Amino acid sequence: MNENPTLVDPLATGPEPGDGAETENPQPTHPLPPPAPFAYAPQRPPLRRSRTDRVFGGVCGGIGRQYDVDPTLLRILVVVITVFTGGGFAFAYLLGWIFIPEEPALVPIGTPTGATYVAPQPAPVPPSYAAGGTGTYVDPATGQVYGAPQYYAPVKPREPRSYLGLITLSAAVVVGGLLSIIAVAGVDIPAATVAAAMLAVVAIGLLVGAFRGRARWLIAPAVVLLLVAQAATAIPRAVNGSWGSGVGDRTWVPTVSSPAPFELGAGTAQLDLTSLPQGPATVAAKLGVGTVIVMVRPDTTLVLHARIGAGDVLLPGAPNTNGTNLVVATTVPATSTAPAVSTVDLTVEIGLGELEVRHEAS
Amino acid sequence: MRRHNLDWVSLIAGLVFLGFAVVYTVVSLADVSIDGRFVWPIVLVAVGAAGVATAVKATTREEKAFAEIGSPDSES
Repeated sequence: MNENPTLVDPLATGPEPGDGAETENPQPTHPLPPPAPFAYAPQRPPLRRSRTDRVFGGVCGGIGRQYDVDPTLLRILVVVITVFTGGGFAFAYLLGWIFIPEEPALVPIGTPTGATYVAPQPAPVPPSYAAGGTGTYVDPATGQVYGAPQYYAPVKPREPRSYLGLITLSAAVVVGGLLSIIAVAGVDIPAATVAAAMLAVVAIGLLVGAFRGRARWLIAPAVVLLLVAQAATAIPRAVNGSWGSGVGDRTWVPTVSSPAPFELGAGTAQLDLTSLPQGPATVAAKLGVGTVIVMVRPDTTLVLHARIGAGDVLLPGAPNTNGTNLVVATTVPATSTAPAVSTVDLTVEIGLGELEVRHEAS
Repeated sequence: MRRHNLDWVSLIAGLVFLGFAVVYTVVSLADVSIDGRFVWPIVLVAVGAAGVATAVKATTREEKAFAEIGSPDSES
């Protein structure tokens, strides 16, 4: 069947009918030089950070291009993982930024550095042809072909860069800044309201981007703003003010009735009520984030008023209560068999954390 | 003038985030509370829905393009 060794026509050199080879791929039946390895198995280019598709360093853009994943999806994933790892994943992202090299900038081939790149101009059509000729025309003088159908690789022109996202994010920052200024000036604007207003601006940007322009990456700042709004809502307004009162562990041992609250921004506070004199007393405490452990004497009846933005309440002899916006108004009775001699009226506010009441071992 | 197809991902995300923005504005200013445990499941549902919408759209587009292979000026 090697009848035609000189013709290189894959259509003509298929298997002969009836030779039992119909199921195989048609192969040229004469020796051909082996194909260059890159012609049929294009190598995957090395992983590079993208220059064109980037938010923070182009890590997601590069990985997305490498593995044919939408970079926006990767960005959302990065934000979500970062949130759930308490920010730890941001470190991994930074490592990617540092260790994945950036792709080289595109320079027109053959253009010396510094020279002006001039795009090739189409040849002018001779008047004789432009006057109404159709079909292909070959200029006999120059051999130049006019009017021949030209096929171009379907290169999709890159859309002009959309500034919608940048505009939206900047507007959100301006709104947040203005609201913060108003809040500092004395108007009561909770942090959650500021975050929600900024979130609204970003959301409107996304909605506009659904119809014109493109700014999908705004989803990432929107997720962050939603988290901030949620966290700020969980912390009651009254406790927001306690942020200025420090971070760490405190032991508070009131010896007299102290209605002005003990305050701590974040940490663990031991409120030791065992040194209070016998008789009625009033104590208050505020904590932003953390744990308040209250120690009471067995002969003391504790009248407890507590507000907890999100967290747990552990009272002696009662099941653990947890949830958001907890309001506790209860009395923890004295445990001593002798009649109670002291009553402490305790008010506790915790933004995020735990309140535990323990009886001093008698 | 540039014509854009509707971007479902942006649309769904924008609607969901705008909704939460309104909810949290109300919650933070008025004496209302919401159960924050619903927030992230709703975001997950929205993200999933946007992904499904994108995938369905892409599938339709690719099938259409596949059916039109051979006509070089079918790009539109």
